[in-house]
Amino acid sequence: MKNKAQIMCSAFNDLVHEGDKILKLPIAGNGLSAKVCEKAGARAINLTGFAVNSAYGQPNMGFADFYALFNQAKEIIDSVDIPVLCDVGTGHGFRENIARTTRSYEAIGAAGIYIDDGVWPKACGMMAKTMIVPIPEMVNRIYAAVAARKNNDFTIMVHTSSRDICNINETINKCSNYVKAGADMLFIDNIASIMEVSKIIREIPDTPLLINACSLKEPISMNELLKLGVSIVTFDDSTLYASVEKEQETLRQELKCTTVSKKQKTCNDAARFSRLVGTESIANLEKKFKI
Amino acid sequence: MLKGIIPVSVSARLIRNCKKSTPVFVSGRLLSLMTLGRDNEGLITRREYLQYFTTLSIETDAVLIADGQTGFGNELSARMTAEELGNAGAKYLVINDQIWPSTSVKISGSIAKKIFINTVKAAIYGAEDYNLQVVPKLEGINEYGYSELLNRIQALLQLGITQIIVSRSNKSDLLKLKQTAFFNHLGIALDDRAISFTEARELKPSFILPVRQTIDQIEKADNEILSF
Repeated sequence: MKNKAQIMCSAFNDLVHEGDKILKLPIAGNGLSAKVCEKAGARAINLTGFAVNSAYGQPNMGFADFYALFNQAKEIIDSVDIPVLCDVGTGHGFRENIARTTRSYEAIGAAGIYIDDGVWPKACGMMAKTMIVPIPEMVNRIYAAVAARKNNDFTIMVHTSSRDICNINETINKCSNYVKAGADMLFIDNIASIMEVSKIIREIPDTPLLINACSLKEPISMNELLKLGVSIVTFDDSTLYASVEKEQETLRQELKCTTVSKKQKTCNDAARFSRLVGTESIANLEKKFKI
Repeated sequence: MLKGIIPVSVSARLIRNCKKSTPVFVSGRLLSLMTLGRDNEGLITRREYLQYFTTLSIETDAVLIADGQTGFGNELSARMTAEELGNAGAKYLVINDQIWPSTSVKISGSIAKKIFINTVKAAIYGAEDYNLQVVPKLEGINEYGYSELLNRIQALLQLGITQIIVSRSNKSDLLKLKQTAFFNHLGIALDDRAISFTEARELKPSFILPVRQTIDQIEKADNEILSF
């Protein structure tokens, strides 16, 4: 795709500002899961550190360094034609590292990145105690990222898990400072109540907000969230767990079996899989260049 | 268009010190020497090269000539090589006519002309979404001879290729080439010692890639470091 990077950045901004539809960001951690998301109808993808670490068979506790995450992001971006928003943890170090992270993700065609205000090395809030850096340090991270991008459409989003350890007012105060420093969008994790969502939007009204739909304790429709002013939602890691569960179940059967028999289902699965990864179009291309 | 003496390097520092408009050839052979300590470009895989190239491209802002070797496999691989390196910011892509995997010191063989033309076509197809010019490199003169070299050049020109690299040719073959109407489309890669840098320069080709001379300098610098 010509000028894919520019197209993806603009497309992501358009989707976020659409206004009549909430943007749902399913999670992917490798090229295959990204293709599954795209074929399922996702309009953009959230590449999380958790999912990438999982692809390496590791917990989300800083095992995947800058290059491991970056490389996986590149594979994902290259395998789909929808915008990919990338989790870059804390930005992988100090100002110069964050600048490198930003220009690298921009160069490979990410729609944007989200940098969190956790301490470095990054530890997932689910797996370790949440620790947040002071506001000035996070503000410097944002300055570094904003200064490093070449294209203003490349989204610099801030991800905060501060609600884990701060009250809602402190969380809002932090986020207001992040927006003043240049953050284009906010991803506030672990907001438990609709009242809190409303309060955030009331106090920081013009900045698109991403929330994790699965952290809300009360049921609420996507339309109601949209009416409240939420622009984007993402989900927990259920797709990842579901694929592992299915794989484990299949493996249980394979390792338990005592007779060899061809299963009818396998052929259908293979055909479906071929369609998913685009075998036919690649095979056609191959024919085109053969003598 | 490639013109003059083209620096050959895998050093981000050197590339940064070049003028912004100076193209630099990011040689697979040099990358193999640097990362594996072996003078054999075929040991470097497409993915390894791409990773290194991507970093150089992001960090230097330079005009980079990518070394696509044989296209790293078949025609389909050549298309993917062009697409991936174009996406990584390459402005030129060199594709040679060796059999895969290509080698650096003594070449193992050349692919048939028809297959090579299809490989180049596939690379052009992969490059079409990017500002990427495919530059075929003919390396097999010692195997297929001068007249086949001419056939290959003419077939490439008919395909619309504007710049071609000739390598491993001796002085007498290059003098014959100089008399042809298409000499202005040719660049010379100095991969071996069949011709010296001075002799190549006297021929005034469109451009020169001094690969062997760069390796000699790197070896000299290595020896100086070891003598401390």
